[in-house]
Amino acid sequence: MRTAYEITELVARLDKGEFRRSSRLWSVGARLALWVSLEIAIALAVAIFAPRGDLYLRFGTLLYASEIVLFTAAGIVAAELALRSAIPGRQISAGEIAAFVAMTATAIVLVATGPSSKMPLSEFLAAGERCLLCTFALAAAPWALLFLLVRRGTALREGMTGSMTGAAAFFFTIAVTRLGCPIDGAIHVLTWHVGSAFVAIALSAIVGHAYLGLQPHAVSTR
Amino acid sequence: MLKHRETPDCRTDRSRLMQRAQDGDREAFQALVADVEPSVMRYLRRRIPDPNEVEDVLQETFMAIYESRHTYECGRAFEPWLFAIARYVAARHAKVFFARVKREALEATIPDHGGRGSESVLAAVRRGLARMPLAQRQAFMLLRVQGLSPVEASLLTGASAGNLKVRAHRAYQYLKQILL
Repeated sequence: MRTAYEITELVARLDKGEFRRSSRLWSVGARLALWVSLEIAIALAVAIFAPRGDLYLRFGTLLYASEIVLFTAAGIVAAELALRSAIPGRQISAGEIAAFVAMTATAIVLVATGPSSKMPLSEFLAAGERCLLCTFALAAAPWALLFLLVRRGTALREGMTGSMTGAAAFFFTIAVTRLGCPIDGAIHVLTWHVGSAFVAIALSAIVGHAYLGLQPHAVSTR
Repeated sequence: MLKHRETPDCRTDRSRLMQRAQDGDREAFQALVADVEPSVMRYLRRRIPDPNEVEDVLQETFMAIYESRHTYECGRAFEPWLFAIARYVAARHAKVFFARVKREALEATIPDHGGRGSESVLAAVRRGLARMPLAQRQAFMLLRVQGLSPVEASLLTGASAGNLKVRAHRAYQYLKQILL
């Protein structure tokens, strides 16, 4: 047991003599609502200004609608998990990760069962390049916003939180790009939409590992 | 005068103290540290392999708690929040500790001194200690010879614990070089 003097000394060393008020973290719900608002604005912009020709017709097909709904849901769930995982004591459980993986896997299986389109390699690459650029361009702002919102917290599993941040932004973006991309071929969607999302998730995990979480400190004397 | 936005959800004393600490009340934070310190210490003792380093990790844990205080939500239980941070700091420390042990085990395989007797080794160590900078010698003597913890040595010398560890390590490297 320490004396009151020792405790005072300890606290004085921790805060270097300046005990400041800390602005509390917004609730997960509030931060999530802010992020979803941005995503909805981007989705609406794509649906209004750059939709595929047969968008309303395609929404009538169960497979297409399910894909969009599942990727949107996966993005929102991942965002919620990312925000929550940056609050000590509220880390993601194995069950939640399993449920999220199952949801994502279902969405990918739906994409894989889509129509197979045969196109020349050059066309495949050219169309893919466009979709790749669109995916990264549309996901950049939501990823940055979510990363900032997550960084306000304290991630204790930095890599996991980083990958969830990436998953949120890029899975939602898969749904958004599907509103504009006229190609439904399974190989195209798996390679350029889903594949690029997984690359981005891996990069996001690396960035999260480096920039989220607590930095080690040497406690110094005054 | 500090205005505290106390919510009805803050039911426990610790929650209320943390809420006041979030509002910038140093006394509340001190009271909270005094209250939780024994249980955090017990928790860390079970997880830190080197007993000399528990004190360091405790301070590191309180530093993390101080820096993460804005993430505590008053409506939620305080202890899961507290021990999640303590577990994280302890795990990070254990990782560093085992990496260091591994490195030191490799370094400890010092080759034969080529027939030099223990007296000549002792003389070489003395010469080495005399030649090295005072700050390094002091850190080496306190940490490696007298066996003080970095925090205890830090209180004696006024240098930070991290600095002392670095100085002691440099002194050790220097002596090793002389003896080889």
